[in-house]
Amino acid sequence: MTKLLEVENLSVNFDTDRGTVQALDKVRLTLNEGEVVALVGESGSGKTTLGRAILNVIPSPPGKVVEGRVFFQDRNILEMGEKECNALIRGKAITLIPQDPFGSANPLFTIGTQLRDFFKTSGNTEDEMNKRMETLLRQLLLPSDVNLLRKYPHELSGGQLQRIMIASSLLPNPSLIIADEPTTSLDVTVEAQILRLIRLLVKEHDASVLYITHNLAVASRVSHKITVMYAGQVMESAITPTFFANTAHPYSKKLLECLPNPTGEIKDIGGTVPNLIDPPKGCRFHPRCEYGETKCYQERPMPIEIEPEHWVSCYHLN
Amino acid sequence: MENIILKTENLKKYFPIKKTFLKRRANCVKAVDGVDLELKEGGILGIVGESGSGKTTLAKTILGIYRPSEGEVYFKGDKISNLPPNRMKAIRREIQYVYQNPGASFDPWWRVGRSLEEPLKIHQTLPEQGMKKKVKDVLKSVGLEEDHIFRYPHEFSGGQQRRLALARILVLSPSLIIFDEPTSGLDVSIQATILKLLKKLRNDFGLTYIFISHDLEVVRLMSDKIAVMYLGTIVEYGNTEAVFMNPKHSYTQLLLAALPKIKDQYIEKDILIQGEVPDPVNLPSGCRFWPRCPMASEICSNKSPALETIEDGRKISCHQI
Repeated sequence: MTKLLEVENLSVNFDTDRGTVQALDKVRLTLNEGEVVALVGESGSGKTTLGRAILNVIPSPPGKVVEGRVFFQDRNILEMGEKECNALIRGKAITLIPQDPFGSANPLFTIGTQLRDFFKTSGNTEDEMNKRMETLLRQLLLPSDVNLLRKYPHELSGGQLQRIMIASSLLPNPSLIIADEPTTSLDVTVEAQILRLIRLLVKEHDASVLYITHNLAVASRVSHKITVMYAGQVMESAITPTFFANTAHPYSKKLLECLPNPTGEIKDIGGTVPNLIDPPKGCRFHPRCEYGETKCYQERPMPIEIEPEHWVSCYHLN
Repeated sequence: MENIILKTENLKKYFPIKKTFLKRRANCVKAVDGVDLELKEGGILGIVGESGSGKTTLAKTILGIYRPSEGEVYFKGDKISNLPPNRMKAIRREIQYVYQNPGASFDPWWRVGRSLEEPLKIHQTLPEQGMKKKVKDVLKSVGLEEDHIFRYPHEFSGGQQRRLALARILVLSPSLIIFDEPTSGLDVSIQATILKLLKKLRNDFGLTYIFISHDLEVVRLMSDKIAVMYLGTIVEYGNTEAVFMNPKHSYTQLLLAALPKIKDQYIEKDILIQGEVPDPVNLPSGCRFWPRCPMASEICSNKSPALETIEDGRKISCHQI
């Protein structure tokens, strides 16, 4: 397996009136070709910021990449200029499936126009375009007739529009798709359909996916690997079956316990996500952690490989 | 003592589609189409279904926000459907509704304390001096601080805003609370905290809940009875555990299969529900689920099945049983 994306020690800060928000703190992540990696964490854990950093679209100011590199196909995206980024990366080699399809589609143009615009930027001929669009829509279980393409975004259901978004993210034949919570606003039934589609299409189109979600159950359904983030730090990363069979980090364990389970017992983590203007020192989870001790806030635990491809940042692994 | 607190009889709500000049005979959307429900005091009823199945319309019709097109609603034995507004006001104090997005239901320019006192002023249940104390008591019982009354709604997090919405309702000491997607948009950890709080409040204040959600896992945790809705009708009703362990209607089965679970990694050939909820204006003939149902036969498209009791406390509307 060849490495497609490697994020190295990435730290991102945002300057606000109240102070500097340390949104990402030395994040490490690797993604191989043809892999689906799920990025899991609560809101405010920096999942979306990481997705944006990979596309090099962190608004600056207020955002600032303090350190670290994002290697994509052996080139550091963060060092590319705007022009180069637009020509090679954004919407070309890396595409995005947004969280809210209605907020992302232009309400003034028909679906067909918007999909065609996507195509024009990648310089295909008219014939190629129509053919490709038809196959794609068929794969996405959408009626590929003219009627659908003539409709406006508001005339479609959430599930249909999200499938159109997936179609547009696949059109430029990307190597990497960043899916930012693509099913949060959908019904479970539609969610199940979309998750299956993503898995199948990834195989067919030979693309990799960074799947951002806060739901571990969704992650287990869609991913090969799981990376758990908390307050801007990576806590644990592992191959999906290993992660669930042998969850090692106390935060991951708590997160799993939060999922509704058939015994009817409701468990929560207790406490709240810290303010990232003045985050806890060392391991950012230690104030909410039952194993938290002096060592945890003096120095941040380095990631340890406890078994092949299973990295955990914690002092308390027994 | 098992008192029936709420009962609906053949409740229907149709929304007419605007008449046009040439097309006089207007169609209508059958949002709720013949719902019979019974809810015991202290019980928790979960209503599940996809979007567009009529869950929210049902809740709003029970509350009297919508006038039912047909059928009746009984609350504590009295008929409350089609009451005149002045008599409805007293009922509205007892049946409360929690909106999907509690943050948006607070006035952004008002301090929280004023928002929390407003329902008390409207209903005049307490003397002026008692109001402040009541607000503070309720804030404590939902896990917020007394001095939060001086803050503005935007200063609260998503989980705290839900607590506020609860507090505003609890000041009126209602007996029935309808929750519309109480945990949508929340993180799993905050969801767990809120659900815990809801269970505690029910025990402390002896409340009855109706729990509307498309998240089956949440409904399973919270409710003791469950009604599965599809396109305005109830397709299955029963004790929550029984329905989850042994779903009888094929819609319930498919809905449960669609739930993402930790155990089933990489399953690509699992049975999935096909298509989406059809247009409620042009409903399928016969059973409304048959175009998506894997078990559909000829009778399904001709005759619509009635909701029949198949075993103790279990009702289902399907021809294939």
